[in-house]
Amino acid sequence: MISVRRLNKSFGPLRAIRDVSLEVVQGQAVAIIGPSGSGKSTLLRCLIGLEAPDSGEIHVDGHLFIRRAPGDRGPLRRTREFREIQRSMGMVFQQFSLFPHLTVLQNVALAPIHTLGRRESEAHAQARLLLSKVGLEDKVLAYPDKLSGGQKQRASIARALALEPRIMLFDEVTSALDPELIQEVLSVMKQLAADGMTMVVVTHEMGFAHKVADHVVFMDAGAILEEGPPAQIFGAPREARTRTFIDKVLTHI
Amino acid sequence: MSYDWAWRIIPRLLPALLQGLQLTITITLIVIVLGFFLGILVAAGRLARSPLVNKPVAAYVEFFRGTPALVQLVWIYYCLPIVLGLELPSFASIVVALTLNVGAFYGEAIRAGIQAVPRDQVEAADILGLSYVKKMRFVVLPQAFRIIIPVALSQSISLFKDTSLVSTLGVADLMYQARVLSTQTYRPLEILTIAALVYFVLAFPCTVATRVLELRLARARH
Repeated sequence: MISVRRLNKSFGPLRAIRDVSLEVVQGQAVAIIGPSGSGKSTLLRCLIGLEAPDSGEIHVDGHLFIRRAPGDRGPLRRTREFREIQRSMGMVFQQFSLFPHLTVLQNVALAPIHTLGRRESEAHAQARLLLSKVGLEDKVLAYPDKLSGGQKQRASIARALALEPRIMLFDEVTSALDPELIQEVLSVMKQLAADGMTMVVVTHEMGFAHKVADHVVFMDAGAILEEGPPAQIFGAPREARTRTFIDKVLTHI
Repeated sequence: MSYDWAWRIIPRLLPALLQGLQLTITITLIVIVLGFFLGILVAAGRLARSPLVNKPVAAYVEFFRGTPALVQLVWIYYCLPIVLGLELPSFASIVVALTLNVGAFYGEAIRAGIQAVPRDQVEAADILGLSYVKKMRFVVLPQAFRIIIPVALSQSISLFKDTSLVSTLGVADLMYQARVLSTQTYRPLEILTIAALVYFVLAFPCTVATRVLELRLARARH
């Protein structure tokens, strides 16, 4: 479903992504874990085309999405094909990014109306359905500033789902939430995974990575150090660095 | 003070003053409208990617913000007809000059408002597949206006007062009338005080309204 080949990205002298290659199979839930600054978020942003890599290729669902040779400069060209592939993926960010001047319903319905050209009544009906699936049916007419962090994230997930993406990307979506609000968001994500959505989840929630993910990728200093099924990464990691990280993280629970 | 205030002369001078005020208001409104459209173009020019576009526009903005309005007025008043090879009524020259001046300020306000919209809002709009136009219309501009409007209103109130500069070029606005009447009656103190009062009575409610609007917009943000 997603094929990343030899991706490189630097920010000035900082090599954020070093020669990363990754395959994601359809229907798989992939968790990316690792210390801060390991390039996890940058990788996700490259996947959906928000960052232009320095070199490498990204294929999505069999189509070439991004190809950069070392000499290429400038932002990615937002051709029609690029945008079509980009919106076959949905992304949810750490900082919610709901549009503050629109109600929750309008937030979710905006893209179906203006990107897909759906009629407003149809888009609103579909939005209500999505919002009730994430448990926000009584908040549809509220403005984002009236929602809790957990509710905002669930609304963001509903907004991303409105375009019926084939892949969902989650960038540390629970990291900015109060602890009591984390579970409600993780349940929605768990349900999505169970429904067969292809997902790539950058997370610090090791419980989620362990129990829900099919495949776990450990990144450190811009490279994929180790990847495998949760049992391997959490139970019997092959790399010393992985083991150190897992030990440190799991003692917190 | 032993000055003999002669307020009694004011009532018969009021019609002339109010006629000047009418011109002041007319100039102000015309320049606000034209200046705002120019400001949109200026902001677009500053935000353009090509240096062929954004450099000249930046130069224009810096020039009109960095030189006194009076200098701009006088320069355009004398030079524009020569440059264009036409006879221009003074009204046209001063409208052009004031529009160019205020357009630079509006342009900066619009640009700043647009750039103040957080980047993650723009990114969210991008990955939802919105075209550039729709993104601006539904996501960026509504949020930018919360910053642009108070600044633009403030600028407009300043413009209203700066129109008094046209009196130096013989345009019969409120200030011009006040100065002529002062010379005729030898009562500058009374007449100019009234003139200042007229400007104040119109500008002050606008200032208050702007502050109220600013507070309401600030409360609506989160």
